Amino acid sequence: MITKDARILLVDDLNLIRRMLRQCLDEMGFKYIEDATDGNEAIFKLSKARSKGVPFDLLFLDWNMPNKTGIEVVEYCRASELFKDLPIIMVTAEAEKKNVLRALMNGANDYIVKPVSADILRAKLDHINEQLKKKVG
Amino acid sequence: MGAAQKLPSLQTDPLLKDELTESVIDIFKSAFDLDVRLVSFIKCNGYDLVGDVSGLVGMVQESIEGNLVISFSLPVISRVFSKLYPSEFTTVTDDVRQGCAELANMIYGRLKVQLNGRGFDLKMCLPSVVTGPGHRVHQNPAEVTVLKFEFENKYSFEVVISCHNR
Repeated sequence: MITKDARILLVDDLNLIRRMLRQCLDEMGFKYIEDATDGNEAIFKLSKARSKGVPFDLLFLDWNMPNKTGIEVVEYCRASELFKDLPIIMVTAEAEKKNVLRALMNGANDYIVKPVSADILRAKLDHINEQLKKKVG
Repeated sequence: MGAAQKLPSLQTDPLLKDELTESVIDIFKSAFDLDVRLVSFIKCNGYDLVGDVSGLVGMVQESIEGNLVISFSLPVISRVFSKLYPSEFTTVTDDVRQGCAELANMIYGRLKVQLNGRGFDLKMCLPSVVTGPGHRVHQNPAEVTVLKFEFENKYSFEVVISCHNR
């Protein structure tokens, strides 16, 4: 379950979008939020946190980033024993259905179209929690 | 979409103005909690946008090429970003440059869903940015749609769509 104590990693090459997400999550009461600016840094931070015994519980992932795209990070996570169950929400300006489907087919749990608002985030986190409940049940 | 199928004309599309307006208003409200309103609208051939920072994104499909440009003076973009950044921008920093390009990208992303839902088949394009005090983005005599927006009764900016047949 994603609770207010969840450890969250925000991955976007744009500071503006990371700030936007962070502000919404702050307003919602989340306390443990870290940033990464591209896919490689995200994978490094995911692995490091895991090895320290404080893994991330949720990943917000931009689609278009330098070095490694969001979809490549999703593929990496889903192929890894360590991160195959990590909840991932893709965040992108690409709002078309075919792109939403592509993200979900590649293993993302959900999808947010920029800009991000607290209402949308809340709904998406509820959706993720429903998914997690079903998995456990 | 097959080559034989005729794509609709963006230049004469009756919904373009309203959908672009809606997209701009929605993005500014949800991203920055700003209530912007449309204050003027013109269609013309050729136009010079003037600003300190401009975000651009290509609008490309089989039969037309065009772009969407949004231009701001530094005090206006600084005000727009003030909800997310604690201190005012006195120069065009990387955050301003990238943020302005992303703003154009978000507006286009929202608009593209509407247009493609009506068969325009516009492709995904990466945004870019132009900076420089008082620079001009010149739209050489393409058909241009110019929308001017205002917020807080003193800040204004323009959004332009231009396109021509390929």
